[in-house]
Amino acid sequence: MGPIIDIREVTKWYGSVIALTRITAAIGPGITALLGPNGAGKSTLIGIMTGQIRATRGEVRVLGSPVWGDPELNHHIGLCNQHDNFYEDLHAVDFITLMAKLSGLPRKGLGDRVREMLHRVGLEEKAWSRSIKTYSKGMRQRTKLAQALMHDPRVVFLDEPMTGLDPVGRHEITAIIRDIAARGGSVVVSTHILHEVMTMTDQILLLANGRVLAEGDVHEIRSSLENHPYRVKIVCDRPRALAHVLMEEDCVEAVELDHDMERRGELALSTRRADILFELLPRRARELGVALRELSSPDDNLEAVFDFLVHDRAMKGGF
Amino acid sequence: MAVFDQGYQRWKGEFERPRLRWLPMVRYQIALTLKRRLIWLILFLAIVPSLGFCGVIYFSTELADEFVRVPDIEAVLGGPSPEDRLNPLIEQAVSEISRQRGIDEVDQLSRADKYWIATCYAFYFFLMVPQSFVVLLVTSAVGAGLIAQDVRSNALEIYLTKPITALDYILGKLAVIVFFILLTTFLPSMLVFSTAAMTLQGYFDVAWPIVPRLLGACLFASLVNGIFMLGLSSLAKSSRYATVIWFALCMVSALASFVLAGVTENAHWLFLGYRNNFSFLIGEMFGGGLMFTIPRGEPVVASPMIPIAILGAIVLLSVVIMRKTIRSAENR
Repeated sequence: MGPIIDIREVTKWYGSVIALTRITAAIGPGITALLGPNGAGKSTLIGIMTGQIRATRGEVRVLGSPVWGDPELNHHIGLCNQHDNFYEDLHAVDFITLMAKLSGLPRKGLGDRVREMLHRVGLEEKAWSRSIKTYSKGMRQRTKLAQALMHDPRVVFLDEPMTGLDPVGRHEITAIIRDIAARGGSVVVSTHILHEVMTMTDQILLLANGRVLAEGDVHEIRSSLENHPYRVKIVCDRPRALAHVLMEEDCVEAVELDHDMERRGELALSTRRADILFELLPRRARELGVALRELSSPDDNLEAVFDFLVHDRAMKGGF
Repeated sequence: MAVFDQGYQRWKGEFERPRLRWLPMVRYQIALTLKRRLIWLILFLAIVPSLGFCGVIYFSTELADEFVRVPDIEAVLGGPSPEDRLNPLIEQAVSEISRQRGIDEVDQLSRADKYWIATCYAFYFFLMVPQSFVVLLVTSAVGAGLIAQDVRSNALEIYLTKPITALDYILGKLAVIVFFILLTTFLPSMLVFSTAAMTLQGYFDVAWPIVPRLLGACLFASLVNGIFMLGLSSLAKSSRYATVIWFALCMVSALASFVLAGVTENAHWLFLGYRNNFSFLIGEMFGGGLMFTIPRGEPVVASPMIPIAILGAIVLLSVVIMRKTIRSAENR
């Protein structure tokens, strides 16, 4: 089966400013986080992937069809925009109903569907008959999400969906996003707030300065960064003894241990071959009679990948 | 209290793919527009002249019938029989019109001819004087914000995420203006026509061909005005800006055209006035080009291609501006 979204050599110019440079990526089912700092080109790429913006060069195919110039494809696409785009005088129910009708949902049963969806996104019932102009940021966000999901799209694009939501709201929206993915849908979530997506998915498409820096599973991406040593944190009962043995191993680049760490039973290692280290470590611990309590890699997460790819490279003039 | 399943609800139905995909947009926009008090005031203003016309037709006919009941001196002296006699207002109007058109033998015109002449002129006057003013108001009140507000609130973007094209979007917006202009022109015209048909004996048989002409004239005015206003509305994010330009273009062009036509004594300058082009073309529909007169009352004789070309250019320019606005949303 081919990818749900197939991005091929997409370039976008705004006059003399280049927003995206030869973006090629394939997005499959499930949740994919579109990451990048502000101005990376995330919203432009979402615009192109939803057929809103025409690429200067290249093509995007969604569900096998070119997305530009095919409004019929919008039956299967839902977009929750970063910007508010409402008729401020309309009530939420009227707005969602209008959007549903434009999406081709028949009148029969539409009222029930609208109410279900507003309940689902957590918009309080007493707010339904109020003008949207009286809504808070979070309520607007929920209304936008409801219109994006009303027609049960197979592919959902959410551009900064958590903006303005309180922690409870974020949790609820995250649950909805997971639910869509669990039922076979494909969700692309754009954000520059990493901890939002860390709880949702490991699949990322990382952009900076209009280029793809990384694509795929965050852990695999991390493993492939061979020039950037992993940091591994070990908690055990005799850190000094373990450090002494591990310093002899070729796969270990550096060992960090000070009095405070020793008192806490902690030991920090740097390695370029995490796979070998993780295989070797239990064996050495057993030989020494050291009890391992905890093993973690603070580098094996999205934030570390993001920091390295975006910040470090930018500092080194890597782009 | 309803309890809903909090899981994500799958849509199990089929999607509708109607030919008029923009229709829901029109319904909502009309409902939204009708929430404004200004619109109701304009609708009231639109109906007042037609009520006046209806009143005049009804009471003048009643008055004429009263005269018929008294011993008919004119009949004794050899004048027309009561059955052939027209409403005195119509008689007076036909005499005046015939004088303007240089027809000397008014008495030789049949009753049907007189009815037809009076009908054409009455409806031309009705559309071009009171209702034309209403069209000016309703076009700006309804149309100025149609695209401007969408651009300002980014609603244009959300429309284009639905299965509708840019053309559907424009047609939907245009249909809203057409609806309100027809509501304020064709509907009152039909009220006047219905009153005349019910009040004046034999009127319907003679005058019914005016109905398709009225519809054509109202549709023509609503489409051209609508497209022009949508073009202005897509120029800026503020509906006020579109309103100011609309009134300025209509008023200034009218003033300039009359001044230049008067000073140069060349009636062709009248086509400089935006609304004068409608007057001429609708005059063509109603009475063969002789309806449209310069201030002295003399008919303007000119090729209808001149106003057609002018209004066509305005429509084309407006479409280009609209397309540019939508393109800029697509290339934002």
